[in-house]
Amino acid sequence: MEISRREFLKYLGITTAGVSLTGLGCDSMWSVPDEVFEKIGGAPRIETWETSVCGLCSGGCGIKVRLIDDIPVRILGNPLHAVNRGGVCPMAEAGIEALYNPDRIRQPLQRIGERGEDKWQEISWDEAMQTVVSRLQGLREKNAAHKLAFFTGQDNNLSSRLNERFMQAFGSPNLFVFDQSKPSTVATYLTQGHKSALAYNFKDIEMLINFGADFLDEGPSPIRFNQLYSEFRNRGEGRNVKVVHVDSRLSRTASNSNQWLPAKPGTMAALALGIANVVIKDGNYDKRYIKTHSFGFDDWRDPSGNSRIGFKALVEDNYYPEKVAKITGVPARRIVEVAREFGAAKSALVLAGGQAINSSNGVYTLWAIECLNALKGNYADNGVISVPKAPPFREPPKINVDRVAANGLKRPDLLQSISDICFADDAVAFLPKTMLENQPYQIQVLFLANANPVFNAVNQSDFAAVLEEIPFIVSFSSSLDETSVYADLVLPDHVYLEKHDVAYSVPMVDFSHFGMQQPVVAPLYNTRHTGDVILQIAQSLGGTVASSLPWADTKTYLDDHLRGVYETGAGTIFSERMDEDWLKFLKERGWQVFEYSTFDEFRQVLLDKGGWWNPFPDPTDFRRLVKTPSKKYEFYSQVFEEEIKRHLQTTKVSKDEENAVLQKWKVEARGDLAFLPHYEAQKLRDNEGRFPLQLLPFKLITNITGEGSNLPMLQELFGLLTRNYWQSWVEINPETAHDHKISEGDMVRIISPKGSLEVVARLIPGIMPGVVYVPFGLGHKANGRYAKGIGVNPYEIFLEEFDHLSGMSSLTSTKVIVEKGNRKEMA
Amino acid sequence: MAKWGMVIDLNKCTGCGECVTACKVELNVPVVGPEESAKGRTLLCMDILSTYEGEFPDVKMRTLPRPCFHCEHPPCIKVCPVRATYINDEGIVAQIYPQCIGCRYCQVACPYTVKYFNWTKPEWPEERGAALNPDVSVRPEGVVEKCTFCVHRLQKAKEQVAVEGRELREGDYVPACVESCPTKAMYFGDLDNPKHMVSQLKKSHRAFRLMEDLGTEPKVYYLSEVE
Repeated sequence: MEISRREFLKYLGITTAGVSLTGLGCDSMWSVPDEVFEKIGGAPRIETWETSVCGLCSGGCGIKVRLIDDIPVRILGNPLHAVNRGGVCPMAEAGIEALYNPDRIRQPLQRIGERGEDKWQEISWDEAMQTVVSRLQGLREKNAAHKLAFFTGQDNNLSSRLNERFMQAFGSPNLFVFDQSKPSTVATYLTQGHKSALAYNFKDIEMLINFGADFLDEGPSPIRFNQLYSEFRNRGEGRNVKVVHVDSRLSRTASNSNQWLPAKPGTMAALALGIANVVIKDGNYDKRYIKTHSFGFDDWRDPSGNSRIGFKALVEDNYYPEKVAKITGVPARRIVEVAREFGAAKSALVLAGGQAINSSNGVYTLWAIECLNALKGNYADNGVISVPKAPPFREPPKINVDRVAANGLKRPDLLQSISDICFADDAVAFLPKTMLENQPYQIQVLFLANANPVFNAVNQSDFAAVLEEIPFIVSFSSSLDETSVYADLVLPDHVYLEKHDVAYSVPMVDFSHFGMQQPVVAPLYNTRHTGDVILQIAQSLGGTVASSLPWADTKTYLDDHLRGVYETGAGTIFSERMDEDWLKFLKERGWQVFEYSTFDEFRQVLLDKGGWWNPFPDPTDFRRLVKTPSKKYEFYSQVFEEEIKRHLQTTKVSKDEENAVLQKWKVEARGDLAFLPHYEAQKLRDNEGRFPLQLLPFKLITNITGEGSNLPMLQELFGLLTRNYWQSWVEINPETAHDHKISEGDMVRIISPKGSLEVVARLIPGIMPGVVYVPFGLGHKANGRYAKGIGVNPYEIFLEEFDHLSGMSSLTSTKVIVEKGNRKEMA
Repeated sequence: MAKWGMVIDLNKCTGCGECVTACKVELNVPVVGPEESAKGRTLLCMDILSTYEGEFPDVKMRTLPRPCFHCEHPPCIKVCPVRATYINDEGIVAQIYPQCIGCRYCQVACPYTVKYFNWTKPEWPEERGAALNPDVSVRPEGVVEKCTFCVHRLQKAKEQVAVEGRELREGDYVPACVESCPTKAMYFGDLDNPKHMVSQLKKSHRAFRLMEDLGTEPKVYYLSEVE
């Protein structure tokens, strides 16, 4: 007798559910829709778990995926992972929807309509690869390898290293990283002469002052910071960390702190220096460190005998609490209180982010904030701040550079020719400026991977214009986002749950570590790992390009790197939580936690446990790291002086020349002041007061990168705390709203000189009067059915203002009008 | 008989929303989409309530994760005309979906607004196929649903301990929200078992329940923030 699966299940269902239901005269099946029943019923239901790494932001959280009959059904945190310790954020949990997204690209696509028109035809991989390779060959034949550009996203994984390597071997200096969560290193460079990203040890700190970094919602690795902030107030009586948060919005990070200091947008530098003023006056700073390891704290004499002003005098004369209170809006009493506590704390740390970085005076702001860490002696060997080493991956073979590649690499990259910014490292926002004028040359081929500037740049329309002009664009995206719709060819990547990679060095984590990303499911569609595609392109190009990228596939490339870790025997594979001292004891005596005798066994354990870490890093020797002319931490930045000399290509700079350069970089201060951290009012174009309110963006943990919008679950939970699902809103202080005749729930129009947005108003007392906030993440014009046309993108109406020292976009420079909209008109 | 309950330590909770997402995935709660959401029909068996206290600049935002409280005296079961919701021997307020006629009396009766009505047919993209939690049935259109304390996990745990021939231990059965809380702010266990963490925590001087004066006796306790 043949029983259909459905009948069989029906039978099963009745017998098992019968215990509670049949007695009540119910057929347990009658009300469950057939198609749903078919979906969830059935099969032997074998449950397995696979570890991997989440790929939805650059946080690199370890995950474990629940599979039923080899079908991934849920994502949880990997409890062994040293960074996220079993926690994940809503975004990671929704990752399952990324895998099954109906709008994923399933096959290589070729554009058939106009640029950006979003009309495509499916083509085969062979055909697609041939097109790309012949384009690239054409460039090399014309000795124009530098005319290939590559825009990538998050770069703390090994497959990004592969892209860099490819660009080197091919011969182009034009690889640019679009990662919003990357910490800025400019201030560190100005005071210490190195650009290493800093990491922080929170273990023994007593106090933390956070200037604007919304770590709990934005990360990097937001869940790690949620755990840290929770732990800060649960260490036990007398050991809790006092957290002070500075921002103009009561973000979740602010509300999870002990004290909130609402400072006016763009005035954080003044506040930091105001705190420094009190700390210095009280003599509550690390005098030994300042005396032996810093330069420019006291007044000093230069080689020609001129007296120069020092940081101490500058701060004492200009940033006394009453004056700072006027600038920032924070009462002087509060400033003194916080500064006294900060000074008295045995170990205290200062961190910055958010609007402290993204404002037109961002570098001076960060610089002023960093000085507080110097005052506490945190750039010495107290272990609070460190520069973690990269894991001991095996160095890949040297890149072979042929004549064509050497010629290409000799060319300046697209940002070097911009003279009105000082440090071009983070200045990707300036790319349209050169690219639109084809300076210094026209890009012929553009590769796009995980970069979406047409959505998340303030000058997104400029980026769109740039893309219109580039003759050939290849996108490696797995969905058609705003930037990828401009492509000529889409070579779809796997979703992160389908591919191998190694994610390492999560920003701000103070020990070296990496997580193993592995396919938890076979690729659902005809997509390919971008790493494999790059390797294949290299092979087809032949010559030195091929010999520089000799790996058969990404997996072998990754294994090659991992061998280094295996051979050095450093650190340990993630293990069940063990007392760190015990782990150290074992390690010192040559024990290892896991048993393996070959690399393959080592690799298998790595995959099972999810990754590797070195819990006992060598302390960072800042004395060796600091590379300033004085070999010390510089309150007065001679590095900046050198930078001006380098810019003018002279060794002697006259006052006029110096002033001209400062003018060009939009620095208002002149003379010594320009080389010291100080407060400069930010640039606000407010058209004779016609625009009374200031507009700022904020991010939410439910969509950190803005790319989560094509996951329906994240859209439905977008404004979880304010109950704004599937929609954007504006947060206004009730007082400000009253002044503008706006009530809770009104539709309002936000007008900037650049454009307008229509959103619903939320009256929130945790917003500074005079400032309005719109969340970033929605307002997509592409990127699939769930994202397109939902909500608004505040960046569309932001004015294009920049910090001309770092080249970063300013998100605090836009003034707006908010007016009550007409309900009918809106609909 | 065990009496299952939960303790949520607000001093540990940061309001990240992971419990809400974990719940949605675990219980196969469908996404209703923008139009339905705008009508207030979003299904959140676990929710986070947020309030602001004070006025600028002395403001405090408070967040409070809110599952079903599985009251000892649940008002919802008293109004159900068809006994589609009842309290079982272990204190879990359960729903019998096939029996629910969709009158929504219980939704109105619940003082904590934890009940949700399925206004639309649950839908997932075709591509998603079988990638739902097979342990939980999908609710049809027209019935009320809510937090179940992940009772399906209790079933599984009981089967497991039966196989192993032992008693149920603390931690054998925890709901998805508790399991996935990144800050370990949530505890779950037998409120009557003095060895279980929850029964000790509920005696804390910080412990409180929502709207205790109603006499519903919720089995979810909160530990207040330490100022």
